[in-house]
Amino acid sequence: MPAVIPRFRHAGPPGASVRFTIDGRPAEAPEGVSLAAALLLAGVDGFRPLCLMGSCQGCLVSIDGGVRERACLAPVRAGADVRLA
Amino acid sequence: MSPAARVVVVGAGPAGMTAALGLAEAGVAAVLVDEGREAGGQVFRAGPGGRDRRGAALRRRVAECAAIDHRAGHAAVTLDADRRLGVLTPAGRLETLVPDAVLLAPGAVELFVPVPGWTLPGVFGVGALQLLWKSAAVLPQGPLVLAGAGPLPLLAAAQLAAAGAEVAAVVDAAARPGPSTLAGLAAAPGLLLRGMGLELALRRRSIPVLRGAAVAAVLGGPEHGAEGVEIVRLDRNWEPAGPVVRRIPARTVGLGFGVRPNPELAAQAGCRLAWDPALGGWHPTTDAAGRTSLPGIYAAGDGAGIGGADLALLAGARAARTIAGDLGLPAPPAARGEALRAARLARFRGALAAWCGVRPGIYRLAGPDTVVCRCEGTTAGEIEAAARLGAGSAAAVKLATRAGMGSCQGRVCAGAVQHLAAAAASLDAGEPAPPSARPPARPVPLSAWLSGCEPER
Amino acid sequence: MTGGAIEAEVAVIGAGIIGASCAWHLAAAGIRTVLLDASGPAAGSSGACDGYVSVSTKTSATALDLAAASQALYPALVARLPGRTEFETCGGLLLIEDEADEPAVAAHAEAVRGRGLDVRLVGRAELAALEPGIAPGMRGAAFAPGEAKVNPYAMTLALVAGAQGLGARTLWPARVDAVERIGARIAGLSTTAGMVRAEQYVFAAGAASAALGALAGVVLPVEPRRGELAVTERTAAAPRRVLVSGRYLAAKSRPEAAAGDADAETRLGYGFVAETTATGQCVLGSTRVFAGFGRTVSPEGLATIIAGALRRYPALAGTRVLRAFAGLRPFVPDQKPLIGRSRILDNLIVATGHEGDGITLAPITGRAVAALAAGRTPEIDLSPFDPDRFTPCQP
Repeated sequence: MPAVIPRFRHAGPPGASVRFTIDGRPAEAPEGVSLAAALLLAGVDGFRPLCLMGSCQGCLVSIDGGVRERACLAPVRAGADVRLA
Repeated sequence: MSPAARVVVVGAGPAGMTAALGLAEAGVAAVLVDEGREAGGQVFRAGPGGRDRRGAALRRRVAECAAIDHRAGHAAVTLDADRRLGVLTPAGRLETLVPDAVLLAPGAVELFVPVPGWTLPGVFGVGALQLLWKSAAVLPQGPLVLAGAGPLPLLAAAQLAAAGAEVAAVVDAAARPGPSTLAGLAAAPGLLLRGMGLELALRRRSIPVLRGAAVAAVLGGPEHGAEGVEIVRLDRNWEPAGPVVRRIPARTVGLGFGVRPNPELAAQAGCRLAWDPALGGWHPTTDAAGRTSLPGIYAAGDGAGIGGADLALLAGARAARTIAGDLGLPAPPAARGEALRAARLARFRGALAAWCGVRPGIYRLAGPDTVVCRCEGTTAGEIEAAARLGAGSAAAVKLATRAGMGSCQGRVCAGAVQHLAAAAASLDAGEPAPPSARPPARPVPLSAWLSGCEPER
Repeated sequence: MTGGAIEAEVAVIGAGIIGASCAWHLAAAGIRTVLLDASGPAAGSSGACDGYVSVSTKTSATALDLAAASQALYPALVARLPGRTEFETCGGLLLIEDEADEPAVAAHAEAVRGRGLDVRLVGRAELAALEPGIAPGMRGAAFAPGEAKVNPYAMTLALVAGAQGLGARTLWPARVDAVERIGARIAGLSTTAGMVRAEQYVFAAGAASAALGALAGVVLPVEPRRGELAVTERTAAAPRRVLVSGRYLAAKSRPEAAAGDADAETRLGYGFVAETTATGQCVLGSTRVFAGFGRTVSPEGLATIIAGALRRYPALAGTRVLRAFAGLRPFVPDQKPLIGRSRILDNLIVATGHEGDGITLAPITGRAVAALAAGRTPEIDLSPFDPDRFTPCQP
């Protein structure tokens, strides 16, 4: 469930955004950011990345039913079906 | 691999980028393998939040260089002494490259020190918060505390505060530098001034920098995550001394105790490794020209010993010249004054490591119930009990408790496990055991080995 | 280290699962024991292997007898040990991959049944029902529901902790640098942790046994045979039973066939093993190569293990490999362990050379060694395992 106020905000120039889903719920993020950044902006709980540089394996997600991968290295893609478990 | 591409450079950070460019200049086409989506590595990471002209210029030159085959999103996962390099492609296939020369420029990994509450939502590595800003213009919302040791928390605080984050405090385990430290740091006056400038910038924003102190615990709970931090003073060995001196509200906490070299591929191949606290710990040994102990395998940058981006730029260029020469090509001459500059940076690095390199007392911050291995949930108490029961060796403790055997393979907790085990068994931690060479360097799906891309028979 | 020597009735050298079992059984028999190791418990092969406690994977008649006797001891032994061992009677499947395998596996199943083990042949459909992740191409299997598994290093550590609880001393890191001999007796061991003196000595040094034997002047022809394994992340796709290819038996017993073969599986002595740990991770094995004392995993070995596993168990395709590692199996030329009292040195007992069977054979080996040390006759016939059988001219 999203926290009341997300712990992060986007402070860049406003631009295009992409829509995707997190465990089936709709979400939106600035185009071009990493999926990890997108999930943090969405205030996702229980998503516990530490390093965001590929090392800690704390940001594993499944994208479109694929093998679990690191959200910090994957771009957020329009229409992606992201599963946290 | 195209027949002309006889060299593979692993890592597209400062060292890897300059090396690939240097090779191109010498007429050698290089494959540049990097896990990231864009060249740059961590320091020169591309994105809307960064304002680094040097990084942008380098990334552009790499992108425009026809002789560089930059493979973004490719992770180098295995390497043997015969230079068979296994690379996981973005399509999930394992490809094997067998070049004449491999340059390892994998950079550094962050050092983490477990404290109570560090597994709560809202706690990150300092580098993670910096990268969120640089690569995605994402900032913490609400009060932020950056804690650890050395220049990284300070630098992150200045960058994030300038961007509009609410930095409540910076906590640095290292005491204020003494005259001998300052004399050593003065070997690289530019870097020293930059550091002092950061401190000044924070003071202008009234952001307190607490020195000789540490975050002893992150307060909060699983429901709301981090809500604050408790600060304690540290003694000379960085052991917590005395009670909690301050409580600071914080929704986001960045922890970072510096970085260590990433020696994994070098260890797999069987390169000689050495332990040197001044270089950040275990690293592949290299001669003055960047050759490891194995023919055809070279190392440069933080992955060969922590020295920072400036030294990595020089080391990458130097390794490119060495490789070109070893391949029998006329190598371009070194820039004038390069050796002198490298020597000054090395002195700076030595002074920095002596001043703010992690000291063992800091691991006392973990309480018996503090989770040390985040992957397997192993606590400090379990590690200490196992160490007392069996051998003090981290290897035995790992077998007994599973600490370091989860999906990050100990990349986060290995240092802490080693120290806690040694301390509990009353052994001198001394020189910790060398990193294990257990491939692959990243988790790889079994399916990657399918599709006829096994090594040549 | 200075000061007096460490004294005991029996000194056991090597804290792998064999040495740890010897120490536990000695301590349980009331014998004052010291267990020493150059590194620490389970630092060698016992910390880098699968944990199949199996009868059905043994090939010779003597090996089957020994394994059956040892497996039967496991439940009572683990019940007496402190801490977790993750011992579980999970059952095992010896896979029949194609028609050619069938007679050999059937004959083998018959031999195993002869040792009182429940083994039956199952066809394709029943195999699929038992383990849905198995490749549909597999023809069937010999199913042995009584086969078990254990966490090999947890078992070793539990044996060590149990021995300590019974009064045994442990000493590590303590590398033996010299063996002091007086006539046909060992008078003491000079180690990096000081002098060790005992009335009797047990050599249980696994792949390092040849060197230890040489220090004492006895021939222990144990060679390191490198076995590589890979471990996956936790996965619901992992099999419930231990899976072994019927061809594994052939790979195991034909070391001479390996070198130079064009086929990587043959050349690397590969035999398919898949075992799910208590944490839900899958251990995949294994190669068997003679390559000195190096424990580096070769990219080719890893590729062979993964490709071999997917061919037989494709359900793991989407699971990630976390790490690969290698252990040095203590190989003896006739592939029978060296267990028994030395006839060269009066106060030496040898317990080594179990190759890939140390986990299964640890209880029976420890029990036999304790009996020998106490001057009793072991319950099993140790003559096939005579440790001096390779000594050129016996006195």
